[in-house]
Amino acid sequence: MFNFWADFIQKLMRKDDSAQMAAGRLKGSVVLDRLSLSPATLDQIRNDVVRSISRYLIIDENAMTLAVQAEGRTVALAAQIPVVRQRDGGGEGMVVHETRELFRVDTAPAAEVGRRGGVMAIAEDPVEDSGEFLIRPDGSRSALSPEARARARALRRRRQSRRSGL
Amino acid sequence: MGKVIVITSGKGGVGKTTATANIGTGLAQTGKSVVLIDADIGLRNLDLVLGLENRIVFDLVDVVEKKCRTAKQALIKDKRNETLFLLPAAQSRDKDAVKPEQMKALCDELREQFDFVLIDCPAGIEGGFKNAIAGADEAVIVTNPEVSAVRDADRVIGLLEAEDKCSPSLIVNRIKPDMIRKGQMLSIADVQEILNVKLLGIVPEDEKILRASNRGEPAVLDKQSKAGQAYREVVQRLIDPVNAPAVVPPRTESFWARMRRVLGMGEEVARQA
Repeated sequence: MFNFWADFIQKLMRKDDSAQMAAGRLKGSVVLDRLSLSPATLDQIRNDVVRSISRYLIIDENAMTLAVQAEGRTVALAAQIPVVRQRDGGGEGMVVHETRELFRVDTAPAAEVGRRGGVMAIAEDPVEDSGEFLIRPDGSRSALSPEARARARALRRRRQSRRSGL
Repeated sequence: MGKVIVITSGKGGVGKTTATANIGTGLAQTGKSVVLIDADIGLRNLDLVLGLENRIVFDLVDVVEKKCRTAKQALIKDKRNETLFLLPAAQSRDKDAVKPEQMKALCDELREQFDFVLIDCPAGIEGGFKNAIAGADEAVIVTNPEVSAVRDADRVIGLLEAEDKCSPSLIVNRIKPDMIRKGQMLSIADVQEILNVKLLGIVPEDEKILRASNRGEPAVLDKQSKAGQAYREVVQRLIDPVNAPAVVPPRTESFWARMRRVLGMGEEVARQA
């Protein structure tokens, strides 16, 4: 009986699905080849992106990804940049959500960013009183999910109380 | 008016020459008239795989240098198939002995007289490759389910697209279904997703291929050979692409691989730079 379970666990733990690794590594190198882009240049692009976004937002640089991805036989540059918060206070009403989902920049050109405080896409006229909504890469807007809004409100309350405490 | 197809891969040793010999023989078996051109000048092998090495009189360089009157005069007729011919490569010259324009003229001459002209391309992407693709209408990429072969295939596809060749089709050669099932070998779906070109055939690893080339008889003639069967299917698709399309087999995974994935124990895939 013991042998059975030992065998079971061993088989379960054995990580030899190297085909998946091969596919992942290939996808990475093949798209760089297609652009004749060196990993070093991609690093430079990444650094430049970090520098320019960091003027406005504090981002989680370690969790950020910037990669070239194949779409058919063409290539897209895709970035995921988790935003921690906006730089420099931002004043009343500039809600910056600490929820990562909200600030994910997915497959540039445009961003999904919340209302007035948003930097990559700025909404002048909030669609509802709470003002929190998403601007999608195609420019369309949609209201936040109730959970995301609740998180944003909690965050704003926290921040306001912190500010009044100062 | 015949079709001129170049068989290429970028990487060496993936089975271009074997593929050329098998597809050519298979086409001839269906009654098509076929000429095979060995464009690997200096490293000829197609003659050996077909068992025609003792019959060579003229070669590709003799033809482009007009040492024989017509291209047809230099062709060697196959032992078994009345409608199959070989134009061997020169062994004592190098790849610069032929220019792309000369290859193009040769292909245009031969396509008038044959249903199919198949060109066995040398490995690499330099002069020999440029010569081999110069006169072709279509390209068949041969690759193996292995990282370096797939990467080189992608490079070659890019070069062919830059030359405005008709979109290439793909043969994945030397697959081991058992290893794919265990997640230890790139699956056809993986390779096809990365290269994103039309699939022409899936050829399993088969000991009979080696035994066939030992004898100089392509495996496509062997009804028992799995690789031979795969090449017969490739031939059907080349003759009539509409009726017998190649299907990418769905990804399958072994019981243990699935358990690991379900439990979140799968190998992390490095996705970002």
